[in-house]
Amino acid sequence: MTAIFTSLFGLLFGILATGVGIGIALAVTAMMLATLFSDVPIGKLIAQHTFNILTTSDLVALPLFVLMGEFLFRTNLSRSLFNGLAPWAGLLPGRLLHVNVIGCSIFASISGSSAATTQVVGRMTLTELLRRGYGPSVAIGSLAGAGTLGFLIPPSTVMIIYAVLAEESVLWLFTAGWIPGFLLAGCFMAWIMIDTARHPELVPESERALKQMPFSARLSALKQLGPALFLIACVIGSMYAGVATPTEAAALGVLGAFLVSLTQGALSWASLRDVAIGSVQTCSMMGLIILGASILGNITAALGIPDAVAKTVSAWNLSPLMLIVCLMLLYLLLGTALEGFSMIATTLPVVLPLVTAAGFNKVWFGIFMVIVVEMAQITPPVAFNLSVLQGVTGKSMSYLTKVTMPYLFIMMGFVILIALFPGIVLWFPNLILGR
Amino acid sequence: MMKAAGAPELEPDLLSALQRAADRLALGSAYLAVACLLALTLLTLAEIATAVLSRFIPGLPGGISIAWEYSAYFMGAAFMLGSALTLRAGMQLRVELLLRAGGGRFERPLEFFSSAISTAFAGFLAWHLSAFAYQSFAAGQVSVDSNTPLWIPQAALAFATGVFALQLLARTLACMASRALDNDAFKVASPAE
Repeated sequence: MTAIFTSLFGLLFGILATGVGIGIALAVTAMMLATLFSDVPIGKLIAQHTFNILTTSDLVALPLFVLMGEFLFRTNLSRSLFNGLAPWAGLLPGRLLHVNVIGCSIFASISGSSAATTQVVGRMTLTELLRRGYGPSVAIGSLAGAGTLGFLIPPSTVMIIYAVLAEESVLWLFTAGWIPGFLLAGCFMAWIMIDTARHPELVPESERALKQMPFSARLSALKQLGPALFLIACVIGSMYAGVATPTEAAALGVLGAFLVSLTQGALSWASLRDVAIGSVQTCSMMGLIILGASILGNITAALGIPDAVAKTVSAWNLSPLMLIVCLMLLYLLLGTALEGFSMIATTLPVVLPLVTAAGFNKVWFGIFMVIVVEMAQITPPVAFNLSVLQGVTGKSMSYLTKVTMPYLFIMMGFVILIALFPGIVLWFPNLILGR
Repeated sequence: MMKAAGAPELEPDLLSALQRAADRLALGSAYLAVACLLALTLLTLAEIATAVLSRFIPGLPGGISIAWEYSAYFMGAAFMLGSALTLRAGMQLRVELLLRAGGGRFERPLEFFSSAISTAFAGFLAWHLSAFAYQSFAAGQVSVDSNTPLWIPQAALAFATGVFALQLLARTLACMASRALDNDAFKVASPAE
């Protein structure tokens, strides 16, 4: 077993380091392991497996949410979210900074991506917040933190990928994301209030005037949220009204997003082509990773690696909480060099059997993975959300890392919280889906 | 923008001809992938519409029985058909730490090595997918749900993987000839993660 282990890690890291695409690197590692340590007809096996995994029914929601995302990316939702939320956020201490968090939470309920959430919401809020004189550190930091909610609040592409690789229900994962998502958003908002109370200069004095706005104006601003609420109804409403599976909800979302961009005049033949080709590129990128991860998962399982890992780790006698803390630190480290999808794909074949052996629920662990993937999105040098912000603000990576740090710590604390109280994750899906 | 206008100039020789052929195939396959995405979206929407209408119109079936199965075939084909263009657009996810190390001194040899491995893998997979599809064809295998001959979706995967392998081969050769590897002109996707 030691030989298999050494080969697994040696091959995997060796091949990854040369810059082979993640999906192919995982598949090649798996094939080499199988050739070295077993006598299976690897070509036949891989052909059959490729066909099976790439035509998994549960996965169909993924290309649909990607397509929906490409439409959303080209709409004016950022402007309407800002105009609809600003009059209400102005009532809270910290004022319009909360638009970042609430806007991201709402956009996260229709989008499956985290970097896209950051970019679409930030497109409007950052320009506006900086123009009004808010402190750039808190304006940018809160957006970077809140943007990560894109993955935790369903729909979520990462959850679909996790569900397929872990053979869990997509709907269960989606449903488990709500309470942690909104709680985390609440923590971010609380931090904004604390931060701006300690440093009043971060919010310009003139913003007090926002409180004077007449209530009727506030109400009528809500109309701006129409398109977003319509899309939430398409996706989330249909799913929980019991009329649609996650896949069907995603198809309705595509239709809704198409209609919204059509009515906003955002569509031309050129932009339609970009939507189409862009979706194909994103899907293919994810498809190869899913393929590689599932091939590696199959081969490692056949070679008995997960059982061996589980035995070794249980011999260390870690408490479940310590195990989760160790995993979180491991993922924080990995998250510096890998982005989210790759992190799940490379580690899940070994880590999932380990945590299930330690008694953790697969849905719970899915939410844990989503949160650590979100952390990976904001830990440099490889940090998708920070790269997006770099594009929007032109600030340096080290500046962005510094202003995002408090939100990273909040997320770390939050992981400990759900490890101590797994009910935060599991109560709601148990309540409405019952198991 | 999709037009190859922004592409690096290539000399008219064999390698350039190969790269052009690989690019055309990649782009053509990507449009096939678009057709697959469109088909699976419409199929799923039609399934919902039928299910809803069947509540009001007696005699209408409660759904389209092949919707699930076929949309999954379309998805599989779309995943593979798009991978050649995705590679060419420089969008495959990978670890770039070593590629960038030492001011990019190791970039070329590493690129060559990784492209060669990837070519071997894609070629191997394309070959075995073809054999797999041929066996299904010869044995007359059909799907359980709809009696669809399985060689059709399998052959689509085999073809798409072949296009991917060809693009990887062109990339490997381009490494040897110190040519440009990625063509940013092909990149259009919005942030995915």
